[in-house]
Amino acid sequence: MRVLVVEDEPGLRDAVATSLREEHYAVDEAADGRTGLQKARQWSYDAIVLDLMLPEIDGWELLAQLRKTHATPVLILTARDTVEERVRGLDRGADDYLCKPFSLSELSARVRALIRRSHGQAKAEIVIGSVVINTANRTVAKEGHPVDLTAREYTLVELLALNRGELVSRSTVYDHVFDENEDSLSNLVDVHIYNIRKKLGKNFVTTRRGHGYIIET
Amino acid sequence: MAISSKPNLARDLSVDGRPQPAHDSPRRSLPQSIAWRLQMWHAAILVSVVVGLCTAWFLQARRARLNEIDAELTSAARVLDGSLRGFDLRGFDTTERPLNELLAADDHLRLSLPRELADRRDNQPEPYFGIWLEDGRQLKSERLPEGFSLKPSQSQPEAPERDGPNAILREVRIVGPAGSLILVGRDIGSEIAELNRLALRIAAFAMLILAAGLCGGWWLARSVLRPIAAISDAASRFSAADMSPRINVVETESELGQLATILNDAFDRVERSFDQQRQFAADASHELRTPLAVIQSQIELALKRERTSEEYIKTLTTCSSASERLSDLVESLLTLARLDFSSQPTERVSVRVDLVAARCIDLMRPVAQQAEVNLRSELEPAIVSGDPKQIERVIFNLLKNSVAYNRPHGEAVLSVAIVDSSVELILRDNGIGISESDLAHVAERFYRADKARSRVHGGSGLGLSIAQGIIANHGGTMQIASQLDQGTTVTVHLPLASTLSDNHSNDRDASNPKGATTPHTTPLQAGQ
Repeated sequence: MRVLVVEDEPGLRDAVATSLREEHYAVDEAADGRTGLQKARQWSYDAIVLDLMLPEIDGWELLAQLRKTHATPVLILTARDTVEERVRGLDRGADDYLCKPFSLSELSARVRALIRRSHGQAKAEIVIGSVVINTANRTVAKEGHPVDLTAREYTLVELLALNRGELVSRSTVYDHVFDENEDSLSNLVDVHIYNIRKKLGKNFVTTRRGHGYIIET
Repeated sequence: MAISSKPNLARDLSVDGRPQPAHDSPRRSLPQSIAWRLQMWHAAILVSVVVGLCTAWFLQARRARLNEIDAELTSAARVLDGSLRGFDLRGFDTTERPLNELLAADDHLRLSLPRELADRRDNQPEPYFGIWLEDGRQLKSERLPEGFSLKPSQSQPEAPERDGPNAILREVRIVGPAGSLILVGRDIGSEIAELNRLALRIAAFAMLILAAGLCGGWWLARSVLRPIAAISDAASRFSAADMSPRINVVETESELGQLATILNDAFDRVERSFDQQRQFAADASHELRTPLAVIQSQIELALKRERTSEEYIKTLTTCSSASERLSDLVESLLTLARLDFSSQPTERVSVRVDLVAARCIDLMRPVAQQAEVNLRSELEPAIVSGDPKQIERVIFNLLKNSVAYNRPHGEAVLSVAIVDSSVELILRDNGIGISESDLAHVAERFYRADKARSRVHGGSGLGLSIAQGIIANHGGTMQIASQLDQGTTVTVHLPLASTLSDNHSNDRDASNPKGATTPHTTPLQAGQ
């Protein structure tokens, strides 16, 4: 899952990005509104954490511009806590709202929920045959037994599970699993898919040659 | 383009932020209501005027009528008197000659009322008359009312009226020849009745006038007071929770219209100052929350798992600078709150502005060197009366801006001089300047023309507000003139304290340990 953090305060941006990375998100950062908007348009993020008071263009403007073309889930992060501000934020296309100061664990829970809901998944658990994926604590169990997956493998499983029944192209996988600083030209994805099949069963993921991957329903 | 320092609105209008319960106007009892009192006075005056006028009217009409009657009767009596003068009345009064003799003479004397008097309209009773000799014997009479007696004549010879048995009589008596008495009278019942009818008509007319006047007065009072009701209604609905009520001003020229306009302006000012306060509180909480969020998230992140010592150091460094920012901010907010609270500097000693400026330059020099900004100063000795720490803060804040919003190889020149008996402090730089649209706002709290830049410099957006507040507190003014990409000039004027020769008294109350008030008469050239 790939997340964009738009925040001009370096200490805060660093903490949020690091925390999300430690939860195995691919995280991109932007220090001002213009860069943020540019990145948000360029990549299809799973969620955007957006500060409102930004240099260049502010969060409101960024949101308005982004909503013309993208439906990316946006979580607003701001020090303005009045009801009017929150209502305004949500009405203008934000999906969630968190006031500063905030707890990082709440932030990541909200980000998880945002990503889940944007895929039409209300519950934290996704059940595919005998495999149960718990998106809250990022664990996977097969026939009741926990399966040990690496962070990358888990992210890939979650991405495919949230989009199950749909073909997920290789470029989509690259977009959502790796952040802008990683070299995505390797054939890492095939290695991960091979390992996932080994751990969750041969038929868990189907490869469509030249197109991508799919978890059949 | 320049803006001048103006006192903060919030200080002029001490409005507390608590929402106040809607103020109900006390229920006015009737006698206290202005409309009621107005109406009472109006009624009293109207009643007395109408009653007075109508009474006068009636009395006038009555007197005219009676005078007419009296004239008529008098002229009749004079005719009788004239006729009587044809007689030789001598001797009759002494009863020497019998009355019959005289009466016999009447045949050709014709002692009777003139034609025009006798020929009256049908409804008017014919007048009566009587002539008496001095000794009281009646010479002649015609149609005297029954039971007539001359008696009241003694006490009031001109008693005009008497009540007859079934009539009101009016009489005129004159003294004829040889002490004789001539009396002419008639029944004036019909005239009296006519006068009574007139009185009734006048009364009805007065009632009509009164009714119309009172109704009109009530309507007038109500319509005059209706705007007051609207004013009090708007004023009582106006509260911290709802500042929208305004008085609907219809007649702008009338006194109440002017009052309403004045009140609306006052409401506007209160609302503006409230909005400023609200904005300030929102900005302050935003500014306070940001470093707090940094500290909280950095600590939470660090505690999530075991970290390397480098990571801990990084976390602590970030937290430390955030908490430094917090304490700076709190300090600035407290200063502002104090400035808002009192309009006078807390301390008043003689302050050598030039020495304070020199110290600020020295403090600022390392920062300026890092930013490659050349700091220069042209300082003349100048003394103002005030708080040395606050004045240092003003100069330091201004210098900080000059360096922060400058560019490499730029320069900032600080000069202190006495101009027109006030201390003039000018800080001129050739930095990035301020755009015209920003210039109007730079002294507003938390206003930052370029947030990214000030974040790098750690500015809170309060420096100029504080400087402006302190200068206003010291009775001075501040002007900022700027042109984008050309530079900024800040001019501060402070009132000059009692002259340099007045050092002794200054020394006594100067308890400044830093020695900023030490008299120093040689022109000081600090900096290069």
